[in-house]
Amino acid sequence: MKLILEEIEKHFGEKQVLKGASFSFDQGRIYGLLGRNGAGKTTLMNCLAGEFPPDSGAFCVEDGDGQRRPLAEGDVGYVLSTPVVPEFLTGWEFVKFFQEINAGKDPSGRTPDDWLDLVGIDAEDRCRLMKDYSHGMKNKMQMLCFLIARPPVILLDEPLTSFDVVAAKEMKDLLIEMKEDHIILFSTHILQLAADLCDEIVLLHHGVLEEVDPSIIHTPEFENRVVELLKEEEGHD
Amino acid sequence: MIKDVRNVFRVQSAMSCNRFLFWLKKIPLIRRMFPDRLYAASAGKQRLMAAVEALKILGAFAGKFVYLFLCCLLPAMLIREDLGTAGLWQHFLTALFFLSFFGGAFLQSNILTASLVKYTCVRQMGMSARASLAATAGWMHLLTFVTFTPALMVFAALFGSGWWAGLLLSVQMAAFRVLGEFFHVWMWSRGEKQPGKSFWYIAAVTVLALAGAYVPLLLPEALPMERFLFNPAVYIASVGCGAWAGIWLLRYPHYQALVWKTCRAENVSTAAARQNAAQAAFKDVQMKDSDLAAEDAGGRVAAMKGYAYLNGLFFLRHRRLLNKPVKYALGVVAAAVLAGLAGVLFAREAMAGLMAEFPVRFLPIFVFIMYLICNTLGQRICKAMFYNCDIALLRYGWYRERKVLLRNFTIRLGQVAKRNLLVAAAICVGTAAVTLAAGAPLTGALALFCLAVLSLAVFFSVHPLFLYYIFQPYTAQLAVKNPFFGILNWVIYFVCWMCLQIKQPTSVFTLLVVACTIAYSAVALAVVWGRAEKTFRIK
Repeated sequence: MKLILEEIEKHFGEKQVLKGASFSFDQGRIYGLLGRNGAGKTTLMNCLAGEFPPDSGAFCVEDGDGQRRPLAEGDVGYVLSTPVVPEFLTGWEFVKFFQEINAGKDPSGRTPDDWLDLVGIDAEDRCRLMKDYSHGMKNKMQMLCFLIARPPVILLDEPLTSFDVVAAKEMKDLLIEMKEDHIILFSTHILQLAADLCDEIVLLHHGVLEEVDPSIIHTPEFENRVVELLKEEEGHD
Repeated sequence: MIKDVRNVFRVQSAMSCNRFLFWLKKIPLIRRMFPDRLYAASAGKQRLMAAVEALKILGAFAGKFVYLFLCCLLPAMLIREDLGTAGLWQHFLTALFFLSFFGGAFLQSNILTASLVKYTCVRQMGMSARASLAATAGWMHLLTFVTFTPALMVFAALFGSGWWAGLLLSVQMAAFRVLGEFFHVWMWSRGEKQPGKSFWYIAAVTVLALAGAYVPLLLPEALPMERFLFNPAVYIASVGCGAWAGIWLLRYPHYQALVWKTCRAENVSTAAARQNAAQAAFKDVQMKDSDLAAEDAGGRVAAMKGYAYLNGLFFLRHRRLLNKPVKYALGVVAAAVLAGLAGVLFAREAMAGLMAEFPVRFLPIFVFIMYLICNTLGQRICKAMFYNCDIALLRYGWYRERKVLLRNFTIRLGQVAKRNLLVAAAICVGTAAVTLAAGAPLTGALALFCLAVLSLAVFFSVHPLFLYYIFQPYTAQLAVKNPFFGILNWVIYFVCWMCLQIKQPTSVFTLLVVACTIAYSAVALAVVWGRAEKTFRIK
């Protein structure tokens, strides 16, 4: 399966954020989306998640047989940088509800308690209303959504920055474990995290997407090379 | 110091210009003439800044003429048609003294008022507070003096007192304004007191100023204000005190601390102010901790599944908020029924006659009454759903899918209708009870009346929910962005009001109401199925 972005453009007023961004993302790989502040990473993710449509261009999913179809909202699991959860529910109730509306999609047979154990929400917290959850706990609840629903495309907007070191390590392992069945795209400003976790790095710079040579990701010059690329002026070869 | 003052002026001017540009860009036909690049410091912006400042100053000059005419002269002309020029001049001076010398000077302080310019220049850019206050408060007082002077000179000349009297008044007013600033800063220096923030102080000054300005119009004789203001001793004393206060203010050594303490981000940030206002607009649907302990009687909700479970928990935990208007409505119905029964006790005959024709005479009015009761409840429920549930879940793609939207719409419609039907049923039972007590017959018209009222309860359950799903008006920041939401509500309000004029037999009216309800419900379900996927989103 592939996720294909074709010439995506998006303007806000006179500012053109995405200028014909195109890329093909493959299943079974974790992609790190890097870009400077205001480069349009969150805009791209919002367009992919259907929060708002792009001005032009298309998002398609291509199956193993080469058959293409437009990306549907249900295909995407999105973990927002500022997590939002229905605060009038407890963590346990949210997981129960979410499992029920996704009945049949999760073959694991886990109960709500099993899922909450998996992301480290302890027994006392899972019966508390989510309005009292910390940023990190809300983020975990959002992550549970895609763990349960298993959408083909998973978007994570700076997801691990609010986790403590233990939770971050657990989530990293979880992402690596589940990547075979998904296309995972996550944005971050932490180059070390990108290098550790990602199979490929994609830069969003001057409104277009470009791949960083995968062979340099685990080399000492990776950081300098990414910074160099992100500092390049528009139109520079 | 002079360099700092100039910089503060520049910041202030750029802010005004940016605000002006922002609003120009909101005007549909001309917005294209003002591209974003104008925000950048350019020759175009410099010209626009100069134009904005010139406009502000011109506006200030013109505004003083308008103010003096509307507030100081017109009330006297309208209330006391018997007054000659001399009497009008006395009342003009009285209003001027109480409104501008007293109220304008003592109500608020320019120095202590938090402003974005002071916050930016002093707290963020590290400029001197004295320079910042000179460029803000000092400039405001200078501008007030300069712009009041020609207006007062013209009015004084017109009243035959000579232009120089206007000039003298303007100087005296400036002295009072400086005294007002002195009072506020002196209070601040005595333990950081800010009378300008006290409701009681503001109310007292306002009432005194208004009463002083306009109550004398009711007296047979005008106050001898000209003699008082131009009395050499009073004049010299007031201007002398003003000059002394001005020197005290110039020498005050703690302006830096004053600005740091009075200008805080939450006082000056427009975004914070907007957010606070938006939060306040949703205050009536905010949950309390005690709401969350609502008991799931018999485990009914726990036994539900999926979206029924989600909505079950929502309505369980918002029971207090959502049932409150129902309780009020039931209370009003109970009071009306009791009043009817009391009427039966005292005037049975008249009540029997009234109740016999009640369904025919009053059914059109019930369209309006049911609108007020049910639509209010429906809107409150929609607001609560947005604030406590949808604002979060609409960020998830699966929640915006067509079948999910229709499922939630129907569940919620059931919940809203249940509450409205309870009120409608109480109206029907109450009407029947009073009819029976009065000894009037329970006729077919009464049955039709009840059918129409129950039907209206359903109609006005569908209506707010339908509008909410199709014109979802709220933004993530809780502002209302879709004007159609309000306009359509007004249209329905107007139609309901027009129903008061309908003169039709009960059977025809009821048939019309039932048909409208069925048609509206069907259209609402079809449109929600077809369109809500696109429309029910966070703006």
